[in-house]
Amino acid sequence: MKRWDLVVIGAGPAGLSAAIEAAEAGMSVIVFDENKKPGGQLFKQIHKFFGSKENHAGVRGIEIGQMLLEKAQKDHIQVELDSAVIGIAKDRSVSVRKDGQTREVQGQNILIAAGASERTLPFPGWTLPGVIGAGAAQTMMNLYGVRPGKKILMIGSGNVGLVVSYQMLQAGCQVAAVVDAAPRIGGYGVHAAKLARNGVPFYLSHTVIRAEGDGAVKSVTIGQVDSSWNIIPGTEKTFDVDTVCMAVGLDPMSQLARMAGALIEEKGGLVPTVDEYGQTSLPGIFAAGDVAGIEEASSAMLNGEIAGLRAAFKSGYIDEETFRTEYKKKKAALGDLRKGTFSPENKGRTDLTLTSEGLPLSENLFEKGFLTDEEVTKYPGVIKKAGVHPVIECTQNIPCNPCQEACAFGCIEVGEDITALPRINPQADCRNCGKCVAMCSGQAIFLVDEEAGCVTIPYEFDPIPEEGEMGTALGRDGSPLGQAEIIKVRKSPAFDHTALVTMRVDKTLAMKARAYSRKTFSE
Amino acid sequence: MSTKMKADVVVIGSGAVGSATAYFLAKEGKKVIVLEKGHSIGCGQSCRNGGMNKIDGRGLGELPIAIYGLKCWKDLSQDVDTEYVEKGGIRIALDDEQQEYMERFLPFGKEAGLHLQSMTGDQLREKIPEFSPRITGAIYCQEESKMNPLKTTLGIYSAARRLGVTYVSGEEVCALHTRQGRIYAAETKNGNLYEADQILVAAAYGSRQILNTVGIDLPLYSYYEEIFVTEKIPKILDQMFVSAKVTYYGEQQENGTILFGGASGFGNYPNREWYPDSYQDRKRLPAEARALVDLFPCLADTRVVRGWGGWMDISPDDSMMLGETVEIPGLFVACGFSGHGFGVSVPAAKVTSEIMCGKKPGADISHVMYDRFSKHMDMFTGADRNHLINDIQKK
Amino acid sequence: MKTYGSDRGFSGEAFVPKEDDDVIICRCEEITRGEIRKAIYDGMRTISEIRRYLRPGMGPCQGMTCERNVRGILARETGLPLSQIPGYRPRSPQRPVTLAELGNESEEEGGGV
Repeated sequence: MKRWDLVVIGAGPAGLSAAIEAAEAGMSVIVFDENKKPGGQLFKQIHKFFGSKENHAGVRGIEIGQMLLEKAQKDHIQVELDSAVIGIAKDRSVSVRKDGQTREVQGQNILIAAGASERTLPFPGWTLPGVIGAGAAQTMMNLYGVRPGKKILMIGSGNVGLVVSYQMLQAGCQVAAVVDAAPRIGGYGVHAAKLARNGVPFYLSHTVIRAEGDGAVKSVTIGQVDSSWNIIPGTEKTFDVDTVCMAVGLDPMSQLARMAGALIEEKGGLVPTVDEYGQTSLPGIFAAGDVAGIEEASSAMLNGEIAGLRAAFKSGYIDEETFRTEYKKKKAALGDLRKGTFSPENKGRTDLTLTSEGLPLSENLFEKGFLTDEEVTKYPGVIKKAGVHPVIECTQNIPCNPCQEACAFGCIEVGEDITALPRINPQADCRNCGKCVAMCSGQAIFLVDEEAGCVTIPYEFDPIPEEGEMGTALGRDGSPLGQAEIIKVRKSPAFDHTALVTMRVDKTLAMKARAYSRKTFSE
Repeated sequence: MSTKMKADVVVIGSGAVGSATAYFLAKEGKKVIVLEKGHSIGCGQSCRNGGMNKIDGRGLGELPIAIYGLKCWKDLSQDVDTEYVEKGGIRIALDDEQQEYMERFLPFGKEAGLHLQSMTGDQLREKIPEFSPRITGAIYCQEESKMNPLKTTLGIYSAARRLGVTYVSGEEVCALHTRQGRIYAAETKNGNLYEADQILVAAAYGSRQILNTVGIDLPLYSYYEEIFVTEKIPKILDQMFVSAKVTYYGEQQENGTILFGGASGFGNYPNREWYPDSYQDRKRLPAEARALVDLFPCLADTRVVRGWGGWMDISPDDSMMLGETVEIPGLFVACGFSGHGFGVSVPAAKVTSEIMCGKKPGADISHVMYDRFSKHMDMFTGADRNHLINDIQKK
Repeated sequence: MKTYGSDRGFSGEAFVPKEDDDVIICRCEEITRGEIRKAIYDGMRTISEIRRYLRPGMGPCQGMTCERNVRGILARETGLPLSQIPGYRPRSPQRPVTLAELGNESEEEGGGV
């Protein structure tokens, strides 16, 4: 039986990051993944990531995946695909099924980075063809180029539900609504805003009652819930859809940790209890990434690195000073990601009313997915200025700062604390280069010239509008506001597949129009 | 906070034997409390076995009870969903030596009333073509059966509850107590006391430790075996099957899954001590997979969905231990089922309930009394756990 | 873990059918919410007993889809918090593997690169 210093189970962001960290310290590392492609969920994430510039903010998930793979290849890490780990024991032996064979592998250390699987929400009709998980829909679209359906209702307004709904619009599907039983949208306001301004309605405090259809989904009915989760009579609404998507949470795939006998706790799913380095209660067995607790890819990568670092120290490949120094850095970066309105400690809270700056958090954004015209002016990213200038509609404390780096002319400030709301510096001169618009992962930055009635929006749909065409300007709530003429379209490799579309509208609409529809505007 | 509870009977162990005895006693109007040390009911051998009733090949002393079982199982199945199917069983030989070994049992089985038929490998394959061409011969026993061990064990528990039996789980017995020489109560680790005029110890290997507290020692040893289940596939056979020396065994359940387990000898078994607190030694699975494919080549592409293991309480002659203890009136035992207890669990329980009610047992249990070894306390090695012709019984 | 005591957590209430009883919870074995609830009233108080009695979690996905939902039903019916309800006991093989594959052991020896 072959022995390795580190056996990694799962070639997703946590697993690969750990493998790279360990290999660069000199350990022999092997990574097993049951899928045919590595990268875990990264290869479905076509959107730009949040976080700090140092930790790949502004870069699309698929590229981060590619970058990790290249690093792993450079470090000569053996990554075995189509290799399912089918058994494990506390003696750190694992059984692997691959190529019609079973084999035993022994690890000095094991990292379980198996990720998570989708939760389901059983409701009457949920077993009809057409009811699928949001992750499954994302796999269909982004890995296989298949539309999950024509018209979709999304259940769940966390980041997964919001991001996948948007990707469905990009794939050419219609999204009838986003529904959540909670009173507030669970994911980032900027993700919700992308949907609202493209006409997707939100139904908070609503739950799904039933899906109906003869052999496949034809319609779905939702209803409002009271404080005891009972349906309020008379609030039923039915949508004609062919697909119902469930984005109701993720379940850590902790089966291997449980099989090995690690101490388990309920933390948004059954997870192995780990210390700050990712060590489980079993010596030499670590857990990192979603399997140790659902967060997102950036934290998964850092947790993977920390586990790899700890394993390297434990096995004598790095000395204590190196370990402590490196750990301190990674811990700080992880800390930055875990702050703000959506921090792990705020999860599930519906009572937050202020940003850390003391500004009001928009109730409308929480409940309907868009800022009102009045409240948008209260935020430091929105100022009045002559000529073209950036308008940043980022109004919640989210760890994210690529906008600061995007402007070479000092127009945008975030500061040391990356969860701070971005501020426009009124003294700086905007050159209309558009980089900030393209770089904002939340697509929340616009270039506005009120006098000229020009609004530049980020555009990620296909086909891209043509200069000269006439269409309709949509408000933050998706309602048609007036005619829009496309006066400029800019594409550039530096914008990484985000086109900048400048539309001219009546100047009274310059601070309202935030999306474009190719339909002709009629009064 | 310790509590005291009183009943007519306390049963220690909630497996098939303990629960079925409680069920039969409750039908006779007795107030019964069942104590289970685990969090769940019946989670020992009763829910881990292969769901078979092998009769041909048992220790001869067990045959009367196995035959009694033919009636007991059918009666019970009126009240509990056991999925009991009596379509016979097959013992398989891979060479002449194994065939000869199996045939030694024929006169004893026939004398006990079984319908046994010896056949060649070809004759077997005429009936069940899926069997491997490697098989040279077989013995078919008409009276053998298979059942669903999970549904049965928990169904008996549910039926017993309906009859008023009280179950306490998470309650491990640490000592038995006597009063004036008669059994009096069971004390548990939680500090509770269960008083009864009669106590039955049906706790598999745990029985030994419990009985030690009143100075009785049963010569049991603990033995681990691995078993697995496949996905559902179309029916290929209704009969249960075992190897000639009953070392490995299997059957296809009514739902189409195939259960298969044992120690086939198709591989090396690592030191079981590595996993003392878990019920699986997955490194045995490859050997058992090879053994099943050896018997049924057509199953090579059938998928295994789960494996597990269990600890069996083995007696020196591979046969159960029953009876009221001579040492302590009111104290009864039912253990030592040696890994083939499930098939006789119901008749063993019925017989135990009969003697506990002062009735004549429905089957002759004189050769499976718990104290038969006291006259022959040799050191046993546990090497070959398939003594079929029992020296003690022939005497 | 709560040990249930002599009433095994049974509240004494009778089984009352509910409107959503026919919703399937375990897709692999097609087991409904009502069947699970009825099993709990029949005496199945632990996740292990429910699984063995009714078979949710015994199909090809070995509970990946239904485990949390079954735990949730048990929590609701017994009044215990979800954190006190364990999951199904995971066993090898964690993914279905054919008998031929399982028996085909590789003979690799030696250390990693």
